[in-house]
Amino acid sequence: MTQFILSRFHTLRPLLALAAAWAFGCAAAAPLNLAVSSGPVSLLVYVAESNGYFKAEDLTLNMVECSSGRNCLKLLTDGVVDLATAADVVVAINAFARPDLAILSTLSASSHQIKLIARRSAAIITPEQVRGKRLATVRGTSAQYFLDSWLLFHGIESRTVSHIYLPPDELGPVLQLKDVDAIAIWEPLASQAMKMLGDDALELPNPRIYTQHFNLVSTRDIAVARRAELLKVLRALARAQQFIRERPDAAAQLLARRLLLDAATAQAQMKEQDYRLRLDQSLVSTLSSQLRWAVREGHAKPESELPNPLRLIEPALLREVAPGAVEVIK
Amino acid sequence: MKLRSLLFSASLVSVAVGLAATMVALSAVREENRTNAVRTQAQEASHEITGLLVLTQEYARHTESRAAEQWHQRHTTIAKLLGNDELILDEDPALAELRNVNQSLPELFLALEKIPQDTRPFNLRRKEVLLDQLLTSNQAMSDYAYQWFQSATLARRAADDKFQLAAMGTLVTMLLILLSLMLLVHRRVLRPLRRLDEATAAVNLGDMSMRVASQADDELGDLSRRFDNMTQTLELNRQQLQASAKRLRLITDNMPSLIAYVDRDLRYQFINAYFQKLLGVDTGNLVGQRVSDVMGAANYASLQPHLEAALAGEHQHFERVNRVRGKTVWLLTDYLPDFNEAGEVIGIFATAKDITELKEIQRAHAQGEERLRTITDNLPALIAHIDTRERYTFVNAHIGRIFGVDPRSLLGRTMREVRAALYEDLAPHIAAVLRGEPQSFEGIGMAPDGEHHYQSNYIPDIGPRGEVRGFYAMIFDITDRKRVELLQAVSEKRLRAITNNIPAMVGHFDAQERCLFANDMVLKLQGIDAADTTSHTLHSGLRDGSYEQHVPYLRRVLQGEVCGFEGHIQRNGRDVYFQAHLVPDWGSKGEVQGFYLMSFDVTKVRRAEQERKRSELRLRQITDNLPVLISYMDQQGVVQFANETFRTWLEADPQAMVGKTIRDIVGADLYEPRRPYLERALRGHRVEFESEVTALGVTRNLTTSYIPDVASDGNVLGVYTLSSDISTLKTYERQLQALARFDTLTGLPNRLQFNEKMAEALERAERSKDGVALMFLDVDRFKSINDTLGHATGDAVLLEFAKRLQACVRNIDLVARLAGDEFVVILEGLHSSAEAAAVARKIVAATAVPMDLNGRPLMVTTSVGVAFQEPAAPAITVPKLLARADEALYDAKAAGRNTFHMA
Repeated sequence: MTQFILSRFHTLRPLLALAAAWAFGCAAAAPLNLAVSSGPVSLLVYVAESNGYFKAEDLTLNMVECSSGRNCLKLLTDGVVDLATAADVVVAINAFARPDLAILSTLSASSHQIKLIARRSAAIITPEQVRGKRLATVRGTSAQYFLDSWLLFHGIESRTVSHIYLPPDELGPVLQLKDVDAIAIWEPLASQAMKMLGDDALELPNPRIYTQHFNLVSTRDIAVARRAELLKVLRALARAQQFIRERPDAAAQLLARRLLLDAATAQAQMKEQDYRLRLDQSLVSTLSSQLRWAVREGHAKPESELPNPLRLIEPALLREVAPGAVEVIK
Repeated sequence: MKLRSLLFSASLVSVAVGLAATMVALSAVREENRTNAVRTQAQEASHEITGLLVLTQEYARHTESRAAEQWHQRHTTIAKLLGNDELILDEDPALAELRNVNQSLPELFLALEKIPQDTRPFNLRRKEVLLDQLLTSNQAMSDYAYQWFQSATLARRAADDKFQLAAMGTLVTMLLILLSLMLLVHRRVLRPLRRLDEATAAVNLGDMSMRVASQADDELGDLSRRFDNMTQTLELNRQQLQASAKRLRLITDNMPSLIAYVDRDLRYQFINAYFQKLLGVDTGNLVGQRVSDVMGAANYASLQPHLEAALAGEHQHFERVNRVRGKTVWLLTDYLPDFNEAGEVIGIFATAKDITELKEIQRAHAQGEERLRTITDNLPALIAHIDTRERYTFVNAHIGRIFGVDPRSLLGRTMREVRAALYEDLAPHIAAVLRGEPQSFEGIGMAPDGEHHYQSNYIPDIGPRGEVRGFYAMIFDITDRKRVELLQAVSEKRLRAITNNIPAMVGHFDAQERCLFANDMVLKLQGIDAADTTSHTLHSGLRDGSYEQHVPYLRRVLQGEVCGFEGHIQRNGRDVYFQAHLVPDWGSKGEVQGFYLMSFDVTKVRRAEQERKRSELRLRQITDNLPVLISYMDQQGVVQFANETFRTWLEADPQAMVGKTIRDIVGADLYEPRRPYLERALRGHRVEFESEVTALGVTRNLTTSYIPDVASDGNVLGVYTLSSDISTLKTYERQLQALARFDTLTGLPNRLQFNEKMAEALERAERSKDGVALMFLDVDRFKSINDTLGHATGDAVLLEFAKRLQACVRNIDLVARLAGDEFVVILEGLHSSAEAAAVARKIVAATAVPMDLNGRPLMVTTSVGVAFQEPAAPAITVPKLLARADEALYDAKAAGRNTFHMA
């Protein structure tokens, strides 16, 4: 698969830009740096930015886009940004090394935005037929967690399939070139892969085995030091939530423009998401499962002590902006 | 605004406000009840979900079927609780999510139940994951139930607020309405009523000058104004009554009639001044005197019956004669009984008008009318007078004679009755003459002896004040004149219409060739004025100089022969052809009294014929000299035309071919293969094919086209066949193919050139004692690229691959394409195999960079087999070296592709 490993420069470029912004920012009034994962999960951020809600809060915000929540969180743990958007599972994996991570709010929840797409030409029509096939996904992301849960649900042992781990952008092309037989990937890459394959594509049924919480993540220190600005960010996102609820068609148009989708696909992807700023108790139990999974899958040392999932959630800020949205008992 | 409208509007507003408030309150109460129900439901659901959580944990610990059964029961209860559509408050996303999660639970739980109860790590792990997910989902349901409860609580609070607002709003609005009503009644009702009361009291005391003078625009204002008007009118009436009595006396005294009033005892109670003027009596003493005393015995005797009848209550209207001072006076008298309220006659109003003069005029008029009737009765015309109601008031005796009735029987009858069916035609004229417009028109009427034409003149009868009192009708019988006129006109018109519409010159001449008639075409073409027609002869009329050509035929036609000829003249410098026909005109005694001449212009027909002949000749000359076999066959395959080339190439006589079928000409063996093409062409399709024909010792490659001859209605009339000799072209093509040394797709040297160059390279290596390498390459999985992405993409890949290969080698090295995706590279002047290996590695790496195919990235790899001929090694042949490279390629493929292998 070496030929598919693309140049790493496209990951480095925004990093350099941010580093520069950070360097200059220190001298001036320090702006807030936010790493956003590209996809419908980040619609609240897109709306808030596009409608000028951040500006209205008198907030200077630098935004950088990453191809996955995993990459966004890496920018946070590397100290390049102050805020990142990432799935619950990414926080769980990183929590072993960085127990100071703090989830400020869930931005969107979805049980269907990660999809398992197979090639009909690889003779996959039912879930059982993935046995003995080559399955590709992105390691250390919600897609890997989803694929693992999916296999377990269907009683398929992991060793009976070939696992291939690639960067998110490469999954569609390798499936098209028939180098793999199925891929597990999130939107909008899932729809793009389906489009590339055309009639050969098949989306395998998803039994709601995993509800992904996509979150706004920072660290404990930043949450204290930049509390006032983070409250502004949350207030801007709450306005975006209101906008999506009241004008879903306009929001879908914005999503289509942002991700270069056609109108129908944007509408469909929006329907799969629950765009409400929340901190639910179910996030705690999800994180708890994922921490155990992370150890099992080798994302953390086997002897590691499991972090307390409740410690990874910081509800105080959201409680101040939207008291009813916090259900976590802390 | 009217008081009624004001009071009505106020009531309406009160009712509306009350209703609206009730509705808002009701809806708020209903909303409150509903939100309460939803809250209760959410609480219940929350309780049940907690129970489900406990049961899930219990099942996980003990795996008892009892716990599973209870789990399913509880899940069903929750599903029922959530199934009620009335629970939805403004599309609550929490409830929607709650339902979704709840729906997905059984599938997870069933999967959990199915896991075998053993200690296999995989099963234990499955159990853990499913349990985790079940508990997480359960937790999510608790979260959503709580959110649902929250939104129901918010909705209830909103409903509460709405109810309180409605109640307060209603109370304030009602108070405002009541206050406004009290103010209104005081200002607009009570105050005006008091003023009206004061005014009536004043009038009652006789003060007619009292006025309320209200400005209000309402019912009380109207009442006040009516009161003011009434008092004013009362005052005026009293003054008018006094003036009226004075005026009445003045009027009656000056009227030219006798006016009197007598009581039941026939005594005069009133008499006007005219009595004195007409009867010479002194009016001052007449009041109280009896009628009989005043009129005298003789006059009274004639009046008495009328007076008695009037006293009996009858209106009397009569003429009478009075002898006054020796003169006869005619009086038109009216007695009108005067009834009291009980209906009894208490007197008589008597008027009498002097009509003595009128009587004189009537007598004179009667005499005049008698004289007029005598005159009109003897006129040969129908004369009548009709009044404005269209009734005959006068008819002369002639009418009776024509219609065969007594003229007097028509008097008093309307024109509609008498003229019956013909009336509708006359109606517009009657209407016009009654408007005062004289009418003169012709018409048709029925008389006992049949249809008659009439010339009718209606003259309005205008009264002295300019009003139309009726009209005079004078009708003359013009039947005979009309008949003659009609016959002439019809005949003339028909003839002229026919001759003017013939696209020919038509003329009628007498025996001296004088023109009697010429149609429009003659006048136009010969430039003759229509009025001068009869002043021309044939000679003077034919101004175009064609007369000389007519002369021989004129003699023949005048001898009674029908003859014709074609002639030719120059008109305006152009050739004109005409066809003339001459027909004798026979007189009643059988003699030729003249002739008819018809002349048609046939120039266009002549020209077309000449043009067709010329064009046919031209076409044949062209086709005969073309190196193409040209023929035309009709629908049945019968040849209608064939050019001279048939003779030159096939030794066939083109004239002899015409009329024969193509099958007869070429024979069945040659015809059968061409038959399907021909049939296709006859169905209207253009067909092209190539064939080989040997004749006169020469073999020709022919390319033949069958071109259908399609008529404007779409039918195929026949087929043109064109066969050209392409033998020379074919020969060149073959030679070119044989000589080609480059691949057409990539432009690289092909196998032929490779064979030469390889042999040369080996010879050079032998001489210079240098090493030489031969690489054999192909594109990995090229067939699947071709099959899945299409041949166009396949070609693009080959082109890009060839480009990259060339970029990887030196200018002196040779890259060639053998076939398909097989390529070779010759490297000369090498010292060791490591050099060849380096180039091969470079090629593999360069190929693996993704190709951009129309903006779509595609990953392509190559496998390379390298055969290296060591410096100073024993000589080797090209095929052997190629075989070694091929073997090495096979090894590279076996090693997993995307690599190279040295032989």
